[in-house]
Parts: sequence; structure tokens; C-alpha cells
Amino acid sequence: MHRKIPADSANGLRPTRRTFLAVLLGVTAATLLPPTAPADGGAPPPTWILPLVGDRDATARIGGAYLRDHPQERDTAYLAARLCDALGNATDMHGDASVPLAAAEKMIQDEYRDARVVDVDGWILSISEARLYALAALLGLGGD
Amino acid sequence: MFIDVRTLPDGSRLETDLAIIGGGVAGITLARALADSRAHICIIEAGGLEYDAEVQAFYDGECVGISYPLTGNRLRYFGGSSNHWGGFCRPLEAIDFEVRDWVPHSGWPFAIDELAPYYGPASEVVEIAPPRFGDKTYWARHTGTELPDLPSGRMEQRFVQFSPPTRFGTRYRDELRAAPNVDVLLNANVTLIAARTDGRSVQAVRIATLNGLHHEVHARQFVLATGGLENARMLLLSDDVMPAGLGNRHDLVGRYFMEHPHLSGFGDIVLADLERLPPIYRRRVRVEGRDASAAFTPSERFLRDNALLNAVFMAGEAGTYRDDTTADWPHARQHVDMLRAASHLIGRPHRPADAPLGNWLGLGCACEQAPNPDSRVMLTDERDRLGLRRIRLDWRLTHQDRHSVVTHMRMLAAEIGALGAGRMLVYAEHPDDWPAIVSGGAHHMGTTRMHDDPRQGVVDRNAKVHGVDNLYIAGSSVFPTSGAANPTLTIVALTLRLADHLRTRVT
Repeated sequence: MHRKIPADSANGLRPTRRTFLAVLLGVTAATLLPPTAPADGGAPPPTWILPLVGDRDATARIGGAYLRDHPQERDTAYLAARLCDALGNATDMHGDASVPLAAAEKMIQDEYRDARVVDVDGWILSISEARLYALAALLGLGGD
Repeated sequence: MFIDVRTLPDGSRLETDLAIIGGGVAGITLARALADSRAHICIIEAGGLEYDAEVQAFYDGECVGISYPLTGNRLRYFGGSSNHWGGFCRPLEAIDFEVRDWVPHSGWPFAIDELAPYYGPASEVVEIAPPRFGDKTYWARHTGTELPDLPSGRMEQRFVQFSPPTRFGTRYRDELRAAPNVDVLLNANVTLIAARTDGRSVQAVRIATLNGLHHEVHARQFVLATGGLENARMLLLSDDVMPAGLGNRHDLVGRYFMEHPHLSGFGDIVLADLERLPPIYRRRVRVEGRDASAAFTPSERFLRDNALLNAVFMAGEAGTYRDDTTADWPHARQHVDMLRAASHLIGRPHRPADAPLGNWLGLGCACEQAPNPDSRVMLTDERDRLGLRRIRLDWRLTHQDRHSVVTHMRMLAAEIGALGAGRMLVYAEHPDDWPAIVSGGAHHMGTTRMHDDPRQGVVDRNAKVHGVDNLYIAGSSVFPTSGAANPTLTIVALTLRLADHLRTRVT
């Protein structure tokens, strides 16, 4: 439920924004799959997301609710680009899972502060937080 | 002295300097404030010293608008509705007194500066002194917790202080009994405020008892202080000289009835880490022998920029979720999902295995209602045991009322997120999603509103009924607008101000 990211899995990937977007080009086809479907076969998951989202099933339900109301965003490349733009260099984890988490917390709090929010099944969520859950839902990411 | 008027000889005529009709918060406060004067004061209370269902039944009436418990949310015995008061205290805000171009019929005849000096003494009357309603530093220091700044500028934090609560009828009974110049008439139902033939002043009030007696009280000055519903009813019933009712030349008496629509179950907050929201935001804390809670209110700037009505929100701990919690009702499932999905963003970095998954805070919301002439107190043709026409209440809310609340709810949700404290679920996105059942706070306001122009208000800035030289009104019925603060503290403050005005006029 409250799973931490194993340090070695983060160390092994070290994606940059550029490599991550390249990976996403490969997984775009997966956007048509059910939310819990794994990403494109063999493509490594965008690991910077993992420190940001909790339980996979819960995340999928909330992310799925967002996608139901915003079907035009059912596109992993689009969602990832929006999030990467918002997070900037924080997606370059260099093995430190706290980097994207701290950046995401700040980004999301700033969005709440600026009322850049969206209604997701009654939850008032920052737009990036909602997209984060949506992307995780599409990629089947999250803890157990 | 306390006098049960059922024991007086029938047809008694009592003389006094100041007759106060109603022995509730306003009536008792006024009598106490003037007890040190040379004036003789007479409180005329319809009930006795204790609750009596037979007496309470006089409050029955008819609702033709939003359902409203006319009998259940006020009390007809000495001490009045303070006998079931919850004790919430907070002053009105400066903006509540202003003419706001987006709020029809808004504006008091004076600014908050006029009333501010009375809030301090009022806080002593309700036993919460000293007032610390906006003093974040004080509450932070005394609770030992840092209280965060609200980041958005849309919301501000205020502090609600809780009266014990003061039950005026018992708390101040001995003091009034001992006052040589104060008489309290019990079981004295006023049936008519009898005007002189020209209608320009009051001569006496007529009293009836349930054992069939009739008396009169003659006075130099009269103050009607029977609560926001009965004040209007008494004026409308007093139609022997003025056919539309006393003070009702411009058909204003009873109109503009306002409540604070209370919405519970309208939204929930979930916290994955309780420490992210200091205790005073989620429960009452006791400081120096007094209870207080933090409240969220919209900032003046946000109200102005968005043309909204005022509101206040308070949260309270409602439940705890553990990892093995079975969420067996829909909102609990949503709570648990959010706590699990957002655990990294709003949770503790290393949650101990035995720590809860998170907490659920319920939300209380009280909103300002815009003054609305169609929301009103009238009289039915049905009569009570004394032959007096009962109340017909038509409580109405408008789109503006609903729109303001829904907007504020969303902004509160954003504030909770901006604080990094938790996430908020709102059960209404659009004003049309307003819940079917809306309750009031037993706050009856606006029915004898205050305005300098007789065509726009029943009483003037001194709470004197326009066109009637010696009749005043005390209580929340004179509020031209309601703000979002619970009214009792302001009722007391206004009454103390009225006492200052009357001091030289009753002797």
C-alpha cells in the first residue's frame, strides 16, 4: 500500500526528459489499452512517476475518472509532455526518488494555490495531479 | 423581582420606564446594561423559568418555503434561545456592513467601526473574553503549533471562540433578581403593542395569561426583543391603529428573512498525515480555559473580485481509515482511494506499519444569504390559544446564495491542497447540485431590517422603529445583512449599543 521505490530500480534507469519522451513515443499505442494494461512490451516504465503515485488500483480509479471526463487526453505522450513541462529537470532523478517527489509536491501545491484545479469524481484536484493519476492509470503504474 | 403575572389581579396595570418585551439574549442584556441607571425596567417574558411544552406550542406555524422547524429552533422561556445555544462566537466582518453593488439591499447604516467597541464588552457577556478572533499569533503561541499562512489569498483564517455556552436565563437570573429597579414578568404573553391613536408612539403593551387574565404594561420606552421571527409577528399583530401592522407603513415588516444556510455532508477532507493540519483546524482546542476552533473564510478581495456572498467553513475529525478498513459506503471508498493514490504526495514519508492510512474530516459550512424581500414572515389565518394569528414563513434562497457556496467550497478545496495538507471532495459542482435538504442555524435575521430610509428599513440606525417615537427593536431581526458569523455575539454588541442610546431616554 505504502510502497517505497527500491533504490536499485531507480538507479538502474536514470531517464532524462528526452529519453523519457522517446520511450513514450513507443508506448503511445498503449493508450488505447485498458488503464491497467502494461506499457508497450519491453519499454521501461517512466520511473519518475513511481515516487509520485501510491496504490495502483486506487490511482487507476481516480485517473480513469479523469480520463472519462477528458477523453481527448487519453494519450500518454500528451500527458507525459504536460507533466514533464511542469516538472522540468526534476524528471532527471539521478537515482534520487525524492527529486521528482519534491518537485511534484511544489508544482501541485502551486497549482492549487493558483486554482488551476479540475473536478474528478467530486475531488478538486490540481490539473497536474489529475494528469499524473491519469498517466499512471494508462501505464498501469503504481504500488501494490 | 420576578413576578408570575398569573398571580396578579386581573386587569393589573403596571408602570415602568422601560418595557422590554422578551427575556432572551437581547432582553436580558439590555436590562443588565441599564440596571445601574435610575430607570425602572420591566422584562416581559412569555414563558416561565423552565421549558413548558404548552408554552412552546405558541411557536407553531406554517412553512410555505424551505422547510423550517419553527417550534424546534427557538425557545419560549426565560433566557430564550440561549437555552439551547451552541456557543459559537465570531464578530461580523467589515465587508458585511458595506453596501456591495453585487448584493441587492446590502449595507448597514454604519460601518463596523461603530459596532467594534461593543464586541469587547459583548465577549464578556457571553464569557469568552478576551476576544481573539483574528489573532493567529495568540492561538499559535497557546497551542504550541505553528499555524500556516493560507497561500492563495482567496481564503483567510479566523478563530471561533466558544461560549460555555452562557445560558442567559440562569447565568444572569440572580443578578436581575437582586436589581432593585428590574422586574421580570413571567408567563406574560404580549398580545398587542398598543399604539396611540396617531400611531406615532406606543402607549402600552397588553398581556394575556394562559389562566385567562389580562394586564397592561405602560412605559416611556418600549423595546421589542422576542427574536427574529416573533419580532416581525408582534409588529404585524399590532394592527389596531395601523392596519398593516406597527412600523409597516412600507410593507417591510417580515420581509428579508435571512438564515445562515447550513450545509453538512456537502464536502469532506481527507488527510494522510494529521500533522499537516494543526489540531485547531480539525477540532476544538482549549486555551486558557476557553474553547476555540480555526475557521476558513473567504478574503475580502476574493469576495469583491468575484461578487460573492460571505461564508465560513469549519472542519472536524470524523473518522480514521486503516489499511484494513473496509470502505463499505461510496464516499468512504472514495476517501480510501484518494488516501492510497496520494499517499506519497500528502502522506508521511515513512509511515509506520501501525499508523492509520489517513483521516476523514467532516465540514460544516454556514453561508451568508442575500437579503431577499420575497423571503419573509407573514401571518396565517390559524390562531393560537390566545387568538393570535400564527406565523407563516416563506424562507427562500436564490441562485446567488447557492453559487457563492459552491464557489467557496471549491476554493476551500484548493486551499487545502495548496497547504499540502490533504484533498477535498465536494459533492456539488454546480449551484443546481444544491442538496435537497438545507437547514438553518436557528439564526433568524432581517425581518425588521435597519436602514436610515423608512422605505428601505423598519428601524433606523438606533434601532428605533421608523415613525414610532418610543419603540425600539433588539436582536438579529434588525440585521440588514447577515454576514456568515453566528449572530449571538453581534446581537449582544448591538444591544449594548442600544443601551447606550436609551440610557438618557428612559429616565
